[in-house]
Amino acid sequence: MKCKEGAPVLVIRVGDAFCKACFREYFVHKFRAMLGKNRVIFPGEKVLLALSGGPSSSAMLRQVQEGLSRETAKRLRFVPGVIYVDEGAVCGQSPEEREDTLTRMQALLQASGFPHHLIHLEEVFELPSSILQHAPHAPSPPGSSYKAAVEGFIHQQRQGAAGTGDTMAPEGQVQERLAVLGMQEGAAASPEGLLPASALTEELRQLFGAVTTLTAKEELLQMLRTHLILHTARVRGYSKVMMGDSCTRVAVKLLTNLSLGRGAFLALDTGFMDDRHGDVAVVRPMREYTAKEVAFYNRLFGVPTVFMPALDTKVLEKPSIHRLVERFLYALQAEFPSTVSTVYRTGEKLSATPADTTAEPQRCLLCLCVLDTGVVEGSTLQALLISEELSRKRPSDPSPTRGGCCAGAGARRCCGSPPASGTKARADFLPLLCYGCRLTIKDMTCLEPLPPYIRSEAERRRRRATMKQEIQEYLLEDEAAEPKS
Amino acid sequence: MPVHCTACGERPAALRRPRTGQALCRACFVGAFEKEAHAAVTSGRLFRRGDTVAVAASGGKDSTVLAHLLRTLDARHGYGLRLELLAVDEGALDGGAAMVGADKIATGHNADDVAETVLMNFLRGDVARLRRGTLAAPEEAESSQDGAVPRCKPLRHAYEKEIVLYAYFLGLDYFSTECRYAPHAYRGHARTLLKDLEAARASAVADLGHSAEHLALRPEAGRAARGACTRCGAVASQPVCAACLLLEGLERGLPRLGLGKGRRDRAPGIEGEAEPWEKGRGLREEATKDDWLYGAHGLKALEEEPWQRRRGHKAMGAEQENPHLEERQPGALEEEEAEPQQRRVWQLRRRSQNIVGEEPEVNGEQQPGSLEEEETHHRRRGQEATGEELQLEATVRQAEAWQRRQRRNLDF
Repeated sequence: MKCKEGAPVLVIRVGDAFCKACFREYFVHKFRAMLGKNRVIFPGEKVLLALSGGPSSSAMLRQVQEGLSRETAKRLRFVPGVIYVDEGAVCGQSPEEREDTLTRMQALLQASGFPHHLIHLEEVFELPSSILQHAPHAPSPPGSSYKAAVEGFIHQQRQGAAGTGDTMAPEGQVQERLAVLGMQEGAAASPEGLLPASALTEELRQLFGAVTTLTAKEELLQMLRTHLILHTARVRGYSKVMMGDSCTRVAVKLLTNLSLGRGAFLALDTGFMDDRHGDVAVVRPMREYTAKEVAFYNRLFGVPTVFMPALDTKVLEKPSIHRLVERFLYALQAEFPSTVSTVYRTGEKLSATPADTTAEPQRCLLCLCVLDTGVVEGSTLQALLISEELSRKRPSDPSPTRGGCCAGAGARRCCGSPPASGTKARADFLPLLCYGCRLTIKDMTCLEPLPPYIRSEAERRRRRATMKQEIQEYLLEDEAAEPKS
Repeated sequence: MPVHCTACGERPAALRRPRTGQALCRACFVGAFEKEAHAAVTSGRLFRRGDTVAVAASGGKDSTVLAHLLRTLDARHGYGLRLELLAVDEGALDGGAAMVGADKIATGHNADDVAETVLMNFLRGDVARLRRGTLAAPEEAESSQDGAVPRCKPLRHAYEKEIVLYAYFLGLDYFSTECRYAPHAYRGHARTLLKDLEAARASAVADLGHSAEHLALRPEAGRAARGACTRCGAVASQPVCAACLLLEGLERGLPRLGLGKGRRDRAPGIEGEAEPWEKGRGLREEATKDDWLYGAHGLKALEEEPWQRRRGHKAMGAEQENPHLEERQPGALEEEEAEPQQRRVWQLRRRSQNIVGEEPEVNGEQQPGSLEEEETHHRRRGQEATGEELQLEATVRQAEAWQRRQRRNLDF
C-alpha cells in the first residue's frame, strides 16, 4: 500500500496492507521513533535487555541488534547486555524440561552477541536488601534539554572511570555491601550443570506454596523477577533496563492493575519510563507494537523465540485476575477492534504523581512506589478500615485463619514460631506496603518463607519507625532524605 | 454444626458477609451495615443539618434500601434532614428535586456500580469521567455551576450483594426490572468481568474503587482547552461542539456526522485532545464497524447510568434515544441523564430561542451583524438583552460564517 509496488503480505488494521519491505521499515521506524521521542537513552549508556524468550522481547532484541549494526544509517548508540531469568522452578517444569529450556536460552543469549547473564529465580534468596531501597539519583531538572542531560551523563561516566571515588554512586555502595555480605555473583549456580542448588529450589517452591491464590503468585513472581533484574543491572553497571511489553500486554496490565488496587501507579507500571528505583530506570520501547504486529514480524524475519510455560499454564479452574482480564480483553477486541488501542491511549493520559518536593515520601517495601494508603475522608480505604474495625469487635474471639501463622499448613515445615508472633509480624509488615502489595501479602498463609532481603528490610524499617515514634515529640521537621546508614 | 456469629459469639450465624468473609448473625450484620453507612455519611460530609434531601427512588433494591437507611439513620443519629422520596417516571430528577425544594439528591449507586463504571470508562477512554471519580476531583463545583442539584451516593461503598442481604433480612420489598436494552449495552461486558473478578478475589470491587480514587491523570488530559462552541456558545475544545456537530449532521441528512473516528472516545461536549490526524476532520464522516456501538442508540448506551438501567424506563425507538439527533426539546428524562454540558446546550438554545424567536438558521441571512444593531433589534422586540446573550448572538454569527467557509473547503 505504501510503496505501491511490492506484493502485500499482511494487513495491519483495516485497510493497511504492507509488503515485506515496507513492514520492516514501519517496524524499525516505530522502534527508533519510540526511543527518539522519549529521549532518555544516552549514547554510550549501558542498557540491559530483559529477555523472556517470548515474542515481544525477542523482537526487541532483534531491533537492538539491527539498530546497532554498523551498516545502519544513524545507528543506535548504547551498550546493550542481555539478561534472562529462569523461572522453571515455579512454573511446573521437570528438571529435564528445565535444563532443555535453559540450554536453548543459553544458545540464544550467546548468539545475540552481547554480554549476557542467565539468572535463576532461586537467586532471590541471595539478594541484598539494598534492592528495596530507593537509591537517590539526582534527576535532571525538568525542562533541561536532552543535550544537557547527555553531557551530564558523560561527565558522570568520566568521573567514575577516573576512579575519583564518587561516594554517591550507588553501585560502589552495593559492591561494598556485596563484599560485606560475602556474596559472590553467581553463587547460587550449582557447580554441576545449569540448574541451581536444589535446596534453594525447594525454598522457592515453599515460598510459592505459601501463597494461596494464583493472582498473588503472579504478582509475587513479577516482583521477584523485577528485583533480580534490577539487582543485576545495578551490580553490572547498567543504568537502564529495557522490557519487552507490547501494546496488548500494556493494555491488559492497565486493567489488571486497576483491579488489583494499583490505580495510583498505573503510569509507573505501564508507562515508557519507570524510575521508581532511582538509579536504574526501566523503559518499555515495545509498548506501541500490538501483539499481532510482533507476531508477524517474528514470523516474517525469523526471530527465534523459546516457549516456556507460565505460572498459570494448564491451570483451568480458578483463573487469576491477570488471566481473567486477558481473556476479557481479547474477547472484546475480537468484537470491537479498537478496544486495545483505546485502553492503551487512556493509559497514556496518566501521569506519575509528582514526588513530594519536601519530605522523602514513604515507599512501599515491595514495589517501591510511593504509598497510596493515606486515609482520606470518605475514601474506599477508609470504609474498608471501618469494616475491618467492626469485624474485630470481640477481642476474646479466637481470630480465624488469617491470624495464625501457618495455620492449616499441614505437614509442611513451619516457621515454628508461636501464632501470636505470626499475627504480629503480619500486622507490622502490612503498613509498610501499598494497597496492592498488601492484597498480595494477605493471600499468603505465612510470611516466613519470604526471602531474607525482604524480611530484613522490613525489620529495619520497623525498627526505624519505632525509633521515630520514640523521639517524635522532639523532631522539628521530616528529614529530607534517609541518611545513608 | 452451627457456626456462631463471630461478632456477638452467641447467636448462630445466618450469613457470610461478602465484604469481609465473616460469619454473622442477622442482627450483627444489620448493625455493621448501618454503622458503615453512617460512617460513609459522616466522613464523606454528605449532608448538612437542615438539608432537604431528595432520595431518588425507582423501586429497585438500591433505592429502597437507601430510603430505608437514610430514614433510620436520620432518626437514630439526628442528621436533621428533611427527606423527600422522589419517584420520577420520565421526568428529570433535577426538576423533581427542584419541585420539592431539595438541596441534595441522594442516589443509590453502590460499590459494584462504581467498579463497573471505572472499567467502562477505561474501556471507552473517557478520561473526563475518570477524573471525576478521583479523590482530587472537586465534587460539588461542577454541578452547582449549571444550576443542577448536587448529588451524592451514600451507598457507594456498599457491595451490591450486601444491599440485597440487608433488604432480605429487614423484609424490605422491591421490584427490579432491567432496562430492556441492558443486554446490548457495553456495560454488560464490564459487569461480567466484574463478576469474574469478584470470584477470583472477594475484595475486587473495593480494590477497583480504591484504584479509581487514586488515578493520577495528566493535567491536560480529558480537559478541554475550554473554548466556546462557535455555534451555541457551550464549552467545547473544537470550534464546533459535538452537539452542534451532530445536529448539523441531522440537518444535512448525514446521521453519522460527528460519530466517526476520533469523536467516539469522548463524552459529547467534553472533548479531549484530538489526535493529530483527527484535527480538522470534524465534519468528515466515517463509518466503521465500531460505529454501531457509538452510533445512534449506542450513544445512549454510552450515557447509561445504572440508575437509568434499573428504572426500566419506557423504551424509545433506537433513533429517538439519542438526544443529540433530535431537534425537539429533550424530554425531562434525557435532560436528567445527560451530561451537564449537554444540559447547558439545551438551556442556551432555549435562551437563544427567546432572543431570536427561532433557531439560528445555518444558511439564512438574518439579523444585522454588529452589536449595536443587535441591541436596537432587541429593544425593538421589547426585551432586555444581557451582555451574555449578545455574545451568544455574535458567536452564532461567527459560527455560521465559519460553517459556510468549512463547507466550501470540504468535498462531500
